[in-house]
Amino acid sequence: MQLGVVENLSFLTPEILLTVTLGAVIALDIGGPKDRKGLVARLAATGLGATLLMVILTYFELETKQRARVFLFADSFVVDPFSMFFKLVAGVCSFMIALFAAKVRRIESQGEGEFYTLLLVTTLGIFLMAGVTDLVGMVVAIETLSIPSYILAGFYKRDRGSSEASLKYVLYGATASGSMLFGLAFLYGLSGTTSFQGISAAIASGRADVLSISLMLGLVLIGLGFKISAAPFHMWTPDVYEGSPTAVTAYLSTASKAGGFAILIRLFYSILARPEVASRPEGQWIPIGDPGWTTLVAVIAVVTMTIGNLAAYKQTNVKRLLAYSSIAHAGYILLGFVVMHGSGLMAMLFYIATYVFMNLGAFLCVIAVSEAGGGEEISDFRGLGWRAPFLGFCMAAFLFSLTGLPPLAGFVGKVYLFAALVEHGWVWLSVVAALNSAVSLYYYVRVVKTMYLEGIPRRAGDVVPLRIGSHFGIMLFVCLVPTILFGIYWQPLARLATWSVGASAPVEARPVAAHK
Amino acid sequence: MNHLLSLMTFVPLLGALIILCLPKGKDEMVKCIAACAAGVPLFLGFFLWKGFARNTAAMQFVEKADWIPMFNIQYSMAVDGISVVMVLLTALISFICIFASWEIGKGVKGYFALFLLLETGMMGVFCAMDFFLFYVFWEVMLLPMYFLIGIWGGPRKEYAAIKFFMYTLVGSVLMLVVMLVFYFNVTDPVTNRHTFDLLVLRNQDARSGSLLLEGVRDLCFLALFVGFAIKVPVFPFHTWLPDAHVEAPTAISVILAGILLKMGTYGLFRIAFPLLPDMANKYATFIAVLGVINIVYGALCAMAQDDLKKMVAYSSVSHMGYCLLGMGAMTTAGFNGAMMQMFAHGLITSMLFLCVGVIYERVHHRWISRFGGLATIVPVYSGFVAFAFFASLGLPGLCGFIGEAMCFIGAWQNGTPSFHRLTMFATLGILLGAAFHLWALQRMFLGEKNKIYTEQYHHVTEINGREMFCLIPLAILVVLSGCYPQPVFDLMNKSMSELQAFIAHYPK
Amino acid sequence: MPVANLEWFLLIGAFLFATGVFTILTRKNAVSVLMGVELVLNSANINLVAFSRFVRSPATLGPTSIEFPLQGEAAHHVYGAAWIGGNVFAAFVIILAAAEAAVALAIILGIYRNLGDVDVDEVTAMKG
Repeated sequence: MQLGVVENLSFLTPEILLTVTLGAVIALDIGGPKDRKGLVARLAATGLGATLLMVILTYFELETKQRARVFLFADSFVVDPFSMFFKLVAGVCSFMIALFAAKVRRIESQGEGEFYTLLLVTTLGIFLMAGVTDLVGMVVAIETLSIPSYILAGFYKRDRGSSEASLKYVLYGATASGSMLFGLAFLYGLSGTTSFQGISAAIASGRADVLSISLMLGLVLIGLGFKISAAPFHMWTPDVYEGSPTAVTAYLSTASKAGGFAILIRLFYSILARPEVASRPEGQWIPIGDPGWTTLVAVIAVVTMTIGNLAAYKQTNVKRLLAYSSIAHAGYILLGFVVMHGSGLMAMLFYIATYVFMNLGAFLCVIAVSEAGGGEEISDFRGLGWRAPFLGFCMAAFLFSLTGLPPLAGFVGKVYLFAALVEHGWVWLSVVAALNSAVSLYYYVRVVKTMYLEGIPRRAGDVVPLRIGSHFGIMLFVCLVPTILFGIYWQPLARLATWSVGASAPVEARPVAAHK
Repeated sequence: MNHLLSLMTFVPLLGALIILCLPKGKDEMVKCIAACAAGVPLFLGFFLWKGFARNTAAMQFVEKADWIPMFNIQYSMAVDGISVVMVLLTALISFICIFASWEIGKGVKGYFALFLLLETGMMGVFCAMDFFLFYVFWEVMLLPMYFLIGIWGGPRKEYAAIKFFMYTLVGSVLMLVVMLVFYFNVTDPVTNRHTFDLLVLRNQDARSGSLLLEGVRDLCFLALFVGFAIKVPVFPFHTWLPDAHVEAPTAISVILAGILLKMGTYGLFRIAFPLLPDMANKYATFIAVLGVINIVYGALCAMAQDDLKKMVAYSSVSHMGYCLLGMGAMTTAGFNGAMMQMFAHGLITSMLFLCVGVIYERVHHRWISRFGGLATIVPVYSGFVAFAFFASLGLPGLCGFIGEAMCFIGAWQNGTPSFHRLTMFATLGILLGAAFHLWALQRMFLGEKNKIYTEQYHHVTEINGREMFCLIPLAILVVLSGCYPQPVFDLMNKSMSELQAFIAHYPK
Repeated sequence: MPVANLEWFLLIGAFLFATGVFTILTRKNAVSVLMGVELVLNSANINLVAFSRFVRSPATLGPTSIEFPLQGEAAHHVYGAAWIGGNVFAAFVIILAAAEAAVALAIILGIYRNLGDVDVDEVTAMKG
């Protein structure tokens, strides 16, 4: 349907609001009163909250108006339930991080203004990544996310670890985006167009050689694999996650990764696959050309999760352990990618939504502990279950959820992924993944063990309580609720994920006249 | 609709939540609430016993509700002859264990909350008639168990707890994949949707989809078997058992041996056999052979132990072997025997572990060779131990004998020469069982006092009222069901013969 | 005299790309590594501009029945954005490369201030 410019822009309210907040934060930071402790943080959090609200409203609007998707800017950007789902996830992450970072003393002393400005820009980048359907837009969106992330990783300027994280991130990141750009240039050259739909059409009509396109998509996969930290482009992850400020690490492992998956799904499924029947888009996808890439992705998934799980064993730093765990989880999420079916994509979305809460929660626990005077080594967590019962309980719940034990959300996410695999005949893959998740228990439980099985007080009076403050307590609770709730009753989330995949699937070439 | 089973399952959970909300320092109140929360299922169990129809193999006390309609997961609870015995046993032993753990020193609140959560998990496993629900309960059990062993256990508790956790989880993820394979290959003829309903999965033509393929059914059966075998535990997956049983606190050892082990055999009865009857027939001999290995190997290991608790733990391995032998026989008598053995072992092994706990609490060690002449100092306690030992070694008139005898009869009735040989070989286990029990009895209780370790005798006091309160109900049941087992057989017989007929219907 | 066709440009692009990757892999100095990255980015740029000049495609218009390729004025009229797509793309890449280089240099400067060295092999506080 052809819409007027203004009506079109109404679908961009979240992005616009985000940009306005960004401007306001910069203005306040530069021109605001000197004694404005915490004001910037509050402004940024409010703006993000409002953005989140607009995302939800737009989501509803898409549903109530039965408008599956709205194309903007000469078809280079699309607002559809799929993109809204990722905006929702990223919005929630940014909002939580903004709230949390407000109480991190070191960020405050280093300059709140910069932190929130960069955070908002990265969020905007993810919002754009969720919606782009054009190579140029894709590159711009990815860099909008990446460049501020490099700075955020090195936000503690005097800190060796943070600087090192930042350097490694920028060098690996720039190399990855360079390779990706080289691949993208060839995609453009082979098909003569920069739009995803156009490339797909070029392959379908036989004008572009599938083999060459696949090769070049392999180069693109380097860039995107870097973003989601899939093997063999995961090398930066542990160092960057360990060295960065924990709030940034939490952000990189959740929102940034979700954005990477959004663009990965959109790009590959737009270019290399087509829904079987237009009326039933949540169903099977037909590969365009050679479907060999699914096997490649399956192998990458297996290698990624295995490397992540095996390397996590011997870690002594909680952040580093969670970094390897997040590599492993990238592997699990990729599983949904290989089945070429709506159920697999739905499982990915579902898993990402649950993963975000549990992983964010785990990192928030780390922040809360170090803000309360603890450290980031596993040994610093000794007896924590007794010293800070609520925090210990939350951390244990998040870790068990990451392992995939019922009745927690992570279990349900894994079930959906495995179910998609089994349904489409990838039983061996699901067995490998299931064994992997069983093995991962070992290192998650090590943290739980340190928290509960060590430093057990002999008498009730022996406990030295660790006070984490109500601010962190409430935030942890906010992460805990979905982690448990979606493990017991997940029908609403499953519906949302299914709808988000189903309604937005067909990114096919549209008739010519539409945007002339 | 009747909510009896849901109440039995979730009242303990409610109790756990109430306990968590209590303020600190109210230990006595915590214990009372825990006793009440565990008492309710036992009380309701009485109605279950009364109301259970003995003359049918059908599901009873059925509760059904949609849980996740999108995935067609149902909240479906019911009991039949296979599970009712286990449900009653769980209610009884959990209640007793609350009292057995009355003296827990540290973290009372956490202990009882986790214990009640564990009871919910166990009840749920035996009542769930939806595969997904079953799996959830199966896994939910692991978490409290890990903490109960890991926090309140013995010196090597951390190792034991993680070993138990890892073993079970590896087994159960395989089960998860098989569960999904079944889900996607079976369609409910009524609703025309995929289903997790165990009854539908059982009565389907499971030879559809990829389950038709050569080897897939074998793999599915073996994966399920491994998942359950780890829990039983079947040789060679048994190595977690001695560690977990020895390190766990007394009450938890009782739960482990008395109920958790039965989940393995229950799982075979409830899921592996009915869902893949042809494979059950195909691997019957294999299962029986493993059973015989368990019997003999467990008994030999038990004989070699100097740690009393470890000896009891290995005796469990041996006794669960009888169940496997009975199950492998694929005869009604064998199935009934296996079930009876599960019931009997639940009672007897609970007594054994409670007795071990009694002496350990007093002298803080369990080395058989350091004792001697206890019978003269603590005659009542010695009487209980002797009674439990005799029940365990299968003295006629006590229920252990009934279970073992029925298993042997069932195995013999199978009729093939290989089963005759297996049965004959398995009787060796009775001999060995008698040997290690009597030997331990003699070394600990009879003869002279130990001359080197004299200090300990100052601490040895007679069994107290609370401990007797735990042991006596079990002892009464052991005698009752040993002399007159008919009521127990009545409960299970219909379902067992129906299951046997169902499996026999599908040749290899 | 050979005519400059697409292959020439692509070869130069590939050569630049290979040189860049080689630099990234072998150089220890962080600034050199960054230069390697710039080479890779510019190899993509050369390709983009070359494609923009040589490849004419109606693909943005979808699977239509327009005869391919159109010539001259007609082509320019119909293809519109497709003509300059590669150039626009390249312009974006140049801007992004500049931003990336600015940030990367700032970070390297920070590292120099903290460690007194920009050798990437020396930056190994974290391992494992």
